[in-house]
Amino acid sequence: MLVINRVRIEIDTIKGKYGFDRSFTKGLNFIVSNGNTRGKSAILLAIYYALGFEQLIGGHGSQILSKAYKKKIKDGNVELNVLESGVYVEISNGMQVNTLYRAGKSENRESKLITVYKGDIDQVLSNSCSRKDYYVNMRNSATNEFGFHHYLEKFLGLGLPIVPQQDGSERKLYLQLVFSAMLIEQKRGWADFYSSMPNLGVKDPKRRVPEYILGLDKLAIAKKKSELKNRETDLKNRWYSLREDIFMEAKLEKFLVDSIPLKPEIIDNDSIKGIKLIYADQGEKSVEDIIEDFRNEINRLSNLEPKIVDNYEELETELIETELEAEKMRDKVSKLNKNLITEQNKIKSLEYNIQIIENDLQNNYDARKLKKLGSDIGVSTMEGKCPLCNQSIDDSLLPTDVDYLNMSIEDNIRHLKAQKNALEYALANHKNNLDSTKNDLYIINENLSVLRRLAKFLRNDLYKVDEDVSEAMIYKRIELEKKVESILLLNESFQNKKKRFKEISDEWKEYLNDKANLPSGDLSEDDTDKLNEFESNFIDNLESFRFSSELDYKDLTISPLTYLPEMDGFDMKFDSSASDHIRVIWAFTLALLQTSLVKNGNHPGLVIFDEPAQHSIVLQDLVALFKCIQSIKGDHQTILAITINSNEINEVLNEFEKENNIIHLEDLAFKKFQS
Amino acid sequence: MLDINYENDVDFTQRPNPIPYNYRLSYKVSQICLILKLSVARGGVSMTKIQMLASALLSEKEDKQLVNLIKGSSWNYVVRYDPTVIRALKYAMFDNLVIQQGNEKYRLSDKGQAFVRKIQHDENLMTREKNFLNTYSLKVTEDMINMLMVQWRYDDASDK
Repeated sequence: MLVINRVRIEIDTIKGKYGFDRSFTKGLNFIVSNGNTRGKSAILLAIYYALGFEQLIGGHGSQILSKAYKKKIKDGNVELNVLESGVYVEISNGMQVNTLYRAGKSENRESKLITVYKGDIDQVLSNSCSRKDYYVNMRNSATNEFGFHHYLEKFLGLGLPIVPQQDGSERKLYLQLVFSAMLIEQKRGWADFYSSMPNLGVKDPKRRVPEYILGLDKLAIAKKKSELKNRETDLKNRWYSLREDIFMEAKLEKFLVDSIPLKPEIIDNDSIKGIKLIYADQGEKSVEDIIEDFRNEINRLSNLEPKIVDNYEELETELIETELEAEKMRDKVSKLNKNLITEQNKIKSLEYNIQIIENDLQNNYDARKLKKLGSDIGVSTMEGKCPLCNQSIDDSLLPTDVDYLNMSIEDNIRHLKAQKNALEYALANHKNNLDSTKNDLYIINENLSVLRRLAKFLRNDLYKVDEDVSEAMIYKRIELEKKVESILLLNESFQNKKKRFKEISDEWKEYLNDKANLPSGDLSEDDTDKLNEFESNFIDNLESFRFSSELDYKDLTISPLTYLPEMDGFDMKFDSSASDHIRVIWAFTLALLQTSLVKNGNHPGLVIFDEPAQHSIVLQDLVALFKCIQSIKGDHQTILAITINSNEINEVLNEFEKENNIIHLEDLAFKKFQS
Repeated sequence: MLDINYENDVDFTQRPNPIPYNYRLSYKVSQICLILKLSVARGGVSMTKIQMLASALLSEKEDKQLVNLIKGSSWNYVVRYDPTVIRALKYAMFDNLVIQQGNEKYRLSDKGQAFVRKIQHDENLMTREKNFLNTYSLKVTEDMINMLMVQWRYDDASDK
């Protein structure tokens, strides 16, 4: 938690030290004055400034500080030049007390520097504690160990989450964003929820901040989900490519593969045995049978009389069969070659067309830019108006037919993109076809050359002297042995791949388990619980502040998407009066604190309202706000800056004075220090 | 009573037509401004020259024909008077981007100059046009165009 213990503002003038030095307590604190421009906001500015939150005011460095810090202060009727200024803010995290010092106007100290003293302000003034300098609102000051916000995060024990950025990277949630939900500044703060939130490149900060403050698991869940999604596609891809590999290898040896599912599945040891190679040709035999067959054949061949004279007729029929087979293959080859050429042509023409469309697209992008450039310098034709008669004209040079609708450039670009997608899809398909055709050709050519060689040896045998050894037979034996060898190799790699299938399947099992562990929606049960609590706190607060736009409180909900109040599903700020809008912001800001305190969220516990009585809020409601804050249980600190504009409010404050800290500015806030 | 079954009606929805970038008013006007800027010649640029350069930017084929003419390798060149260019030029004139001088040639107005400066400022804009025009536009001279037109007279005469 964060508690402001004491604020000391020092302003050096030629007549000595002026400034402000008061303590704050836990719970409710008031800073009040009888008139405006007495320095209430200047005191609050000191807190913003010392915490390095000037971006919430809308400026950089000492820019945001008021005149009293930088130019002149008044003492009675005398105006004094400000020589140097600086602010001390003593903060506590519930265990330790540290003091922050940041210079406002100074000749030799940069305003980017914040000094952290390990002690309270008294120790600082007596120079009896150690100190360390940090820099703020510079590159990496939220993550670097010399960055002030890095220090502050650690001091407060906040543990900020890593969140997605607009540019797609991930970085820590910034402290400024978190505090914009609890420090409501006078000028901009009352305009909307989180209206002072600076743009620091975080994506959807208005969702990330309440998620963090309420401690929702949503972001973690979303991250896990996208991680799971990645794992899923990775596993699927690996499974698919492994399957393709196996099919490819098997096909080379004329084998088919049985029962590998297309997508990852849980496979147990029994079903992994079911995955097997089947010989494509002869009656679907298994690897073992085929090897057995081939070995038998080899044996038969070696037992055979290797003399031609014994089997002349056999040789002749075999030659005819072989040549017939080769003829069939040649036929197939020519068909495949035709396919190959068609596919190649199609790919060429598609690539050409895609090139043209890309060119068109580029030119259309140019046209869009040109139109913008032209309308920037007031060229009527680029604004879609006729330069002569100012009537609207189409952005077209084709003969204008009244009944024709023409596409705008945006539509045209979309149209071209769609065309390009279609062509690219076709191109990918044709490339696939080309690859598989090439593969088939390779296999068939391989087989064909075996047949040709066999035919050649057979022919040689036929014309040889009868007593010679048959070349064909020897060739067949060699071929068969080669085949057996490669089938054995295939089988070995197949067994290895089966093991890898099993591995992927195990990972798949794990993945399914992790997926089942995640909640089905975006929110965990805890999250829903917290949001319900938040919603009921918000509505209770509104009721006590007498939110008056005639509405049923039952219709109010907190959207689980944006975490903002909604009425019948619509943003409620459109349907409420100005003063009601202020009540909504009170209720919302306090509900965040209340919910976080009850549900162990990450709210730092500090709330600052500068002039909460905006837009003619009546006293009764203001009192309701005080009471509501007073009734919040748990460690928190609220600072309200209020202008007293009636006697009634004074009476009310007197009542609250007993239990709460009231800093009453009689005159100007900055007075001469007694020394 | 007669029941009309509306469910079986056929509906036609008119869809907008795509327009090629070359026939976009805004694109052509910008192209003409760029041509006028990049073929600065004393005394302005003639309509014929604008037409020749604009057609060369239409396609690679047209591009080659003009390049052949410039290199002197072929006088076989037909000037295409594209009505869309004329229309775009008119719009540009009424929009005060282009001024027609007393000698009937065209030049850019101050507003046109400002517009072209913006186009030139963006390196990624109309790169194809800029490359082509920077290389060739100064090589298409009014003398050459006059020669070409004289040639027509002979060609016409011999035809008849």
